Amino acid sequence: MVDAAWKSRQQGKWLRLLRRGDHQAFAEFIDKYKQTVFLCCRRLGLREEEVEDVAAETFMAAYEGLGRYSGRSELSTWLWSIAYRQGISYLRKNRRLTRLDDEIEQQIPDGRASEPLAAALDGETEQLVWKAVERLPRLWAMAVILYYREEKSVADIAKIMQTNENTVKTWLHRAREKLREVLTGALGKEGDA
Amino acid sequence: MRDTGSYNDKKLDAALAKAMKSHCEPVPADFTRRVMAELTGKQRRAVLARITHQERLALAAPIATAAAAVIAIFAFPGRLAGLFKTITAGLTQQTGAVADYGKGLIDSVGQSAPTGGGQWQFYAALAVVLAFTLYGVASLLLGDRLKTA
Repeated sequence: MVDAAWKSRQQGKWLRLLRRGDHQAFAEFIDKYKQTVFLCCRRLGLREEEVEDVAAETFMAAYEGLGRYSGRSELSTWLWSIAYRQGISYLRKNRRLTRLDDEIEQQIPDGRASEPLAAALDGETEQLVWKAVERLPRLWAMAVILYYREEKSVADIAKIMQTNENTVKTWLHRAREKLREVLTGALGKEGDA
Repeated sequence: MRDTGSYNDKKLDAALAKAMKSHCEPVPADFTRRVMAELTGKQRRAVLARITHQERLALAAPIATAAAAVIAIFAFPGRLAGLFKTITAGLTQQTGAVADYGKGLIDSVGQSAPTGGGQWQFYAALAVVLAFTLYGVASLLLGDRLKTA
């Protein structure tokens, strides 16, 4: 209880420093969230040489926007929204934003263990699951990561991905079904054990 | 949700949560340092740009005022003389010496102003002065942009 209160006070103090533009606090902010931002950029399908630039732009935009951050949503949700918008805007600028909804129809992985999955069979189960998620259409994968890794609510995911809650629920449901199918096919025997 | 055998809902959720959380996304080692350096550089450039802009405005102001005064003297000599007369009339009641100085100034402006249409040399000189003023203001305000364009 005391620990939680202390943590909350520290968090409040840190946020105040961030809003004031304190460089030390901002460096800590980058260290804390850089994996999240890189994950978002890579899952959106940016090329490796573009990921670092867009991630840096995301943090610069966050620095400029921190003064206006109201605290109504979690800081990580707010940053995810910026990273998502930056990534989408970069793809749009470079005319590489194919309709992500179309991709869902084109890239649904089948249940058979294809090359990356087969390769992962020798590794750990987590790696296999991760590879299966990577093979999902980008929007589904993003929703799965936000839900399971970042523990975001459906409402927050909808806000980040600029869509409605029913669409997110549909993506999550379909992604789960597909992942279940893929994983049961690839790890069926392992799962029964 | 239907159960497809080995991966029921609970097990699938657990496997997904575990896999997602254990994943470590690779990030370049010097990323934080790079962003902080970029941020510091951007802030320095913003401060410099602000100072430069303020300096340019400060320098442009006297030039623009001088140019406006020159234009006013030759474009509206009558109105300017009227203005000076009003000012000096006001001052006459207070200080005789100041009023004399004002009247002298009006007279000198009246004598220097062109009266005929044939004094082309005068207008040519005025054009050169105005062109130089315009060039000065343009290079103060747009100098860097013109050089970097």
